[in-house]
Amino acid sequence: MDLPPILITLGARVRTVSPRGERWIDVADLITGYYETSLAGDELIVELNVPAQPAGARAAYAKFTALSADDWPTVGVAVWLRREGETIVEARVAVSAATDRPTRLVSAEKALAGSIAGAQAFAAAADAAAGEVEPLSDLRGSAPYKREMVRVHVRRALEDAG
Amino acid sequence: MTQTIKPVTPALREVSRSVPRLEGVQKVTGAIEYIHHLRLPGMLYGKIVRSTVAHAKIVAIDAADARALPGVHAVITGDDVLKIVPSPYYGPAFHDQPVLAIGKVHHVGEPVAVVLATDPHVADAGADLVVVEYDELEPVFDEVAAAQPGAPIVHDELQPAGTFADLKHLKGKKHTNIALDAQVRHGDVARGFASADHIFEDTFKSGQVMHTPLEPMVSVAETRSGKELTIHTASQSPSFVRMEVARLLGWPENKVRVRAAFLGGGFGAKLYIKLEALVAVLALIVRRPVRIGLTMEEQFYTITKHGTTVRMKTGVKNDGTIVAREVQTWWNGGAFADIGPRVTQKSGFTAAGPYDIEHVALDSCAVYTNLPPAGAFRGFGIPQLVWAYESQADIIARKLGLDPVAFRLKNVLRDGDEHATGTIMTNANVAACVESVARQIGWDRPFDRGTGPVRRGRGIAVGIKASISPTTSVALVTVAADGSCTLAISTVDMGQGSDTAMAQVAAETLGIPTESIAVVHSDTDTTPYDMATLGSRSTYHMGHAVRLAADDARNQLLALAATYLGVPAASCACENGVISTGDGRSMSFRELFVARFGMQAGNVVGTGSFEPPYAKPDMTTGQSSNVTPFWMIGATAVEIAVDTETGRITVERCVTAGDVGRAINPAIVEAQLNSAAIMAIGSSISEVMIFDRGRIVNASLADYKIPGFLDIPIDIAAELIEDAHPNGPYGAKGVGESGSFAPTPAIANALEDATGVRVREMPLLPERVLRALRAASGTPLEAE
Repeated sequence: MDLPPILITLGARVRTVSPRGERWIDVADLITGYYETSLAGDELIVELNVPAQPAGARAAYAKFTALSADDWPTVGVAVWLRREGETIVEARVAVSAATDRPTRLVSAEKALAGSIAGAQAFAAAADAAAGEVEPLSDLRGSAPYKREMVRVHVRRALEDAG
Repeated sequence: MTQTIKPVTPALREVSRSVPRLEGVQKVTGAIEYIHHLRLPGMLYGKIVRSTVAHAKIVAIDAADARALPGVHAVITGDDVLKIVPSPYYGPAFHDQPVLAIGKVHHVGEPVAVVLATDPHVADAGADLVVVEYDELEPVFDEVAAAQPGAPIVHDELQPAGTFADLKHLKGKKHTNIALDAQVRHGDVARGFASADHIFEDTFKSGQVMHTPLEPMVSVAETRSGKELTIHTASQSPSFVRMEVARLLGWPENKVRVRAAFLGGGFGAKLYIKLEALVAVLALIVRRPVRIGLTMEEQFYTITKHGTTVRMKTGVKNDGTIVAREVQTWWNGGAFADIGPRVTQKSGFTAAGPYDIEHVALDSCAVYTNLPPAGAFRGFGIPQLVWAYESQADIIARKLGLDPVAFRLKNVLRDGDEHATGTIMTNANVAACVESVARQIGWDRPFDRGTGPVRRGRGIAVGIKASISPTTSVALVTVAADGSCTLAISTVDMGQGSDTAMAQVAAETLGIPTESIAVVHSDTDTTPYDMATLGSRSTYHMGHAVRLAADDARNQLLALAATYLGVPAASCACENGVISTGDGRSMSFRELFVARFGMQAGNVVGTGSFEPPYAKPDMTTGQSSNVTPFWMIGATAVEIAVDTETGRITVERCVTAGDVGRAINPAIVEAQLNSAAIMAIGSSISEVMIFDRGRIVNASLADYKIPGFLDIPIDIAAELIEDAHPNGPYGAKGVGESGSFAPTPAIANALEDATGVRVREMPLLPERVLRALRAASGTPLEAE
């Protein structure tokens, strides 16, 4: 559950092979639901490609486990920012574990794009993320709690990535 | 029969030495025997078909498809069991648990049928094909609701086993889920409350927890003639298994052989009967060896720690003196009593805590519900009670503006004080344990309370437990003609280091090195009776029996030496396997046998049997002049970090003190205190069984999270409070549970210290903590 949101924000792709040949799938399109992927039954992943990141790109992953330290994450948040000076020119935010599949949080990304990196922008993006995410209740936390954890960890990941 | 041993000898060679575990190298090299690995020729694997509903009548069991599956040898149901056991109900307190369900199921996971096959995977597949039709009844899950009139009734009629006097009056009782209502009455609580300046009333709840031994329960039974049985089992109580299986079959005990090996953890889960009656009956039906080994998931449906509701009312003077305490405790016993009624009574009578309180009224109620059964769990109910009285201790101290340590020390029971049961306290170092953890944590020194979202706090707590009684242990020490020594005991080494500790006691007494002693594992054909390995009783009870047995052997050897050396036995010394006289002459053990038998031949057999003094409490008042052979005291102080934005608690420091009498093996005792504390930290902040209409949602190691290495506090330490107990072997007391008593309230108290928020329901999961924090700050989190 930790790697998919990280790979999504880094723009990673997988190369797959099947009797019909090869194809490339963006990691963002690979996982389609809870224990579900876009792979065919006879298709194998043979390569993972993480592209070289542009100058000025920074990324961070914030993981939160509610039970033991080695528990599955309750919420995982990956963020990726490209800055020019103090201005965020491009942002990617993906959440995992709280949702049925790793999900880009577009409203948070929009809130960040064009803003000055800092507490105010990060808090606004965190609020946008919390508003957008649709978490699932389970034994690690209710949906309202996980929504709150998304807010906290989007902000923390952004502070970390700066 | 009671005995008092001689005073502690000053120069100890084997006792008080941290002897490395005798089995350590074998364990880490994989050479140790576990029943889990046992395979017998012709053995069948059994897979249990379990109830999918919490409370129902069984309408029909259709096993045709399972029987038709290639490789399935047989499918056995309760009807088959009845053919060889007319009344197939077992249990240590109540005969309420059927070998396989008969007519009714009482909880999700109750065994309904068993599929037997030569291949375990075929047995699994066959179990999926058995179709059971149920007529569902209304279930009851909450312990307080189940105790009320009009609640759904779990068992039509109560069937006490007859072994416990305080349960006999319940025989044949109908229309109730209350399997025992135990009381303590001391002083006059009404008068006490009237004299109090402040009254505190709180309710504390705790949820079901699983023991989680990493070797799941496993038992194998075999019979050659159908008239005898051998049961190989991962059990903490082989002697009880033999007695109970013999009773079910109407056989003499000597026709049932029960043996255990090392256990991959027990913690109370493997006590009394779990799978043994079932495999015994199956082996008799099919006349082939039968093995049933549970999966981790199945363990969750087999035995649990009691969920508990504790209502506590306490009257306190302005100066902090506790004058009255009234406690009502409801123990969620699940569908079968197991040993729950003993938890209810034995732990129940300590519910007022280790405090000197003039007026006490305690009611402790064992309640049947439609959850999986609850029984013994490291601490035997004490952690649930300490959770309540030590949480309230801090609530009181804070309200009165008193330091929590000073408040406790003002009220603790000291030797010579009268306990609520009327027993005069002795060898119970409550104050020393509190002072120890206060000193270890640096209670009076400032610490980093944190900034930003992470806040730190400290908490302290102390708990008291009475040892189980009356119980008996018997030991055999055999000296062979070459002078080597074998110790035969039914204490089961489940990781607590009992083989090593018992060998140390024998070695000290005989004057030989611990490492030279061989320990024979529990086997009812060869090792004598022991009540069970439970309740921190082995070191004290069996240790005492071992010392008596070794003393007996030593005296026989000294008598031989006296004969051949021509001096009185009393003038001989026994050291390093050599008996010497004051005038410089000596004979080795071997030389004694050669002198006696003319060759290396014969044995010296020493026996020891120990049953400590005990006075049965009065049925209605709980009063007793001697309610326990010894008191266990455990105190813990913690320093925690609370992430106030997530509610997550990290225990950064954990210091424990245990009143251990004398540590036979200090390194093992320290490990016992720390490991018990770690286990309690798990049930404080990350472990809880989550139920959905009686089904456990998280019955796996993936979703039920015991502490991992990263959850163990960076700073963890234990101090041994040594005050030799006059009746313990070399002064030792039991210690396996003491570290588990206090961590949970210590953490809750630290949470309030850090954040000002008090939580009264455990575990202190992050969401529960965050909701409390947000409610306190006026920005409550949206409801679920």
